[in-house]
Amino acid sequence: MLITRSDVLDEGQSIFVKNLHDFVRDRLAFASSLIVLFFFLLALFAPLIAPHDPYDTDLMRRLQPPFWLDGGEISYFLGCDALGRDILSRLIFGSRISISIGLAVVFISVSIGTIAGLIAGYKKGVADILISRLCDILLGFPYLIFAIGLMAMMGAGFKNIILALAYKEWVEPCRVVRGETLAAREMEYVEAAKSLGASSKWIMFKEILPNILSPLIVVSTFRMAYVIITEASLSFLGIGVQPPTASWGAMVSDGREFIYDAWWISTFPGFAILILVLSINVGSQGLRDAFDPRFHR
Amino acid sequence: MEKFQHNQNPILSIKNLRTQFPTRQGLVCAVDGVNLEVNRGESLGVVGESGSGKSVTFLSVMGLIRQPGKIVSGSIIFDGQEIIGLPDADYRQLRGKSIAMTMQDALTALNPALTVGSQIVETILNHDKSFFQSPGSYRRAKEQAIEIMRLVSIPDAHIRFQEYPHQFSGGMRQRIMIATALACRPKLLIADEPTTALDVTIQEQILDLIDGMKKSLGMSVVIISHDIGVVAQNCEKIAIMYAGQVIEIGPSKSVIHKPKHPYTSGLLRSIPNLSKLDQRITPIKGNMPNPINPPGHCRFLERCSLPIESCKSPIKMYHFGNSRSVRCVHNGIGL
Repeated sequence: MLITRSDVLDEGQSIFVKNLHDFVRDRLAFASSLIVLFFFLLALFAPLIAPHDPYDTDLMRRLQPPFWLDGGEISYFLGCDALGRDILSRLIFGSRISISIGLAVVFISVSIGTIAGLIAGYKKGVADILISRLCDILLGFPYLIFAIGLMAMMGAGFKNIILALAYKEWVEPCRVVRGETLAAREMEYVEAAKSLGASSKWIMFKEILPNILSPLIVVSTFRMAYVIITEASLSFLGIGVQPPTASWGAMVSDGREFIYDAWWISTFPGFAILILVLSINVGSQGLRDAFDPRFHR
Repeated sequence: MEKFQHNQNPILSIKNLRTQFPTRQGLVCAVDGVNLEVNRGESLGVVGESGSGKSVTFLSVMGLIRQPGKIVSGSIIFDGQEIIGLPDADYRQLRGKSIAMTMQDALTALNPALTVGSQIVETILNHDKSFFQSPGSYRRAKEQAIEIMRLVSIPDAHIRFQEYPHQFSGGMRQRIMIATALACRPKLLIADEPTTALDVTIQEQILDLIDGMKKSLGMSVVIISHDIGVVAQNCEKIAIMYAGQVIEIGPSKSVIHKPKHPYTSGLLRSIPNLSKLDQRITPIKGNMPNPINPPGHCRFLERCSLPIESCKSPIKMYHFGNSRSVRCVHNGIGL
């Protein structure tokens, strides 16, 4: 018989599945992604998990310390803030804000960035000049200042944070997609698709996009970490999510005045930001190692 | 019946085609006044060394010449219709559905991120608009794709449908590429180097496959190759290209047995012959002339074994009976 198969991969295994195996084998990255998953579950089931109502104020418990310090109570595990609200419950509910804003901004910006990047990279010419220069202009502004300016104009609020961040956030995926598309458009399979009558739209979305999916996934996860930090920064500055909504950035800010007397108010949300962002970063680095062919050893 | 149509109405007729590429050193005339005809149900072999303009000629037919290259003059008539300057949307309808081309390298011409089956299915869905009108269109396209995979002799087509190009061997990949090209039953198949990088036994299978498809689907075929042996066996007509020009054309048998151009006879003499192992093959010395400002005289002059004074003026095509033509003043005398 004629059939000889490439031995590089197992039978029926796509490159994607092989990369996924590589990723799972990278223990640190896999553990990080489990932590991220843990935060996602916290956010999803917050009302079921949180021991108390995060908005329930109780002045008797004002600045109550965590359970292992004098005056702490096991049912108020991480203590209470200046209004006597349970910090653990507020942390759990705060994860909803960070993660939903992170997901929404990344989803919007990756969608816009992918389309813009494909058009710029594939069509070249005027479209490329317009899109690339717009990217350069947006990159010229410092991220936070740009977001602060937009928030000042639009006013604070959940929807406005998403818009303010997405305005600039699409630039990164756009640049990555454009670069990858520039390389992919010269491949012979694009020429072959053309010779079989494929339209530009077809080639961009059905031929090129599947081939640049890996770097796109990687850049999206990296940017998610960045968006979460920026949201926390905006909320810390008081122009993000408005009180009394529990947001990690706002919680850090709330605890500022009491940092010497009640360090736990600022410290725990700070840790939450640190752990989530670090896990996303380590996880996406693992993703990059597994999925980006240039990092294959 | 088939025979009767033959000479009246060729499926493809290229007249005086000129395709140029501006470069920093000057204008490269990759195709310089090519005349070719492909009749219905006929196969034409186009032979020439690298850079002779054979691929560019047929990329011009497909309308796939890359900027800044362009077709400067000439006419390409496909199925009675002039296709140079056709609007983009109309050209897309033509490609794949009426003329299909398989690319040189089957490894890189298949999309590595998609299963081979979906690549065939997409070509079908792309062209057959009736598929969109009914539910279950994907399923029908899939059945059709598996049918085509069987047609090009891929064993276990329904299983291999879901596999990726890297899971196929070189010969199988070439079959898949032919299958995608045949997905919409084109009237003309252009196979660009279909056997390069395949070993000899597989070469033979692929050529037989193309020949069988030609007969069963009643299409016309153009095989582009640098190997005159490959083309001679499988094509009824053969055209030899050199430095952007067709220098000899005629029925395969007659060209092989009695070449009329020194270049053709040189090509034939440089094929190793197993029955005469002690005989050394004779290569053609020298290189092709610079494609920028090619010489006004015979382009083969510097490498020719029979140069005479009249070779130093521009050479026209000499036509003979039994549809042979040659671009040489010797007309085959003295070879």
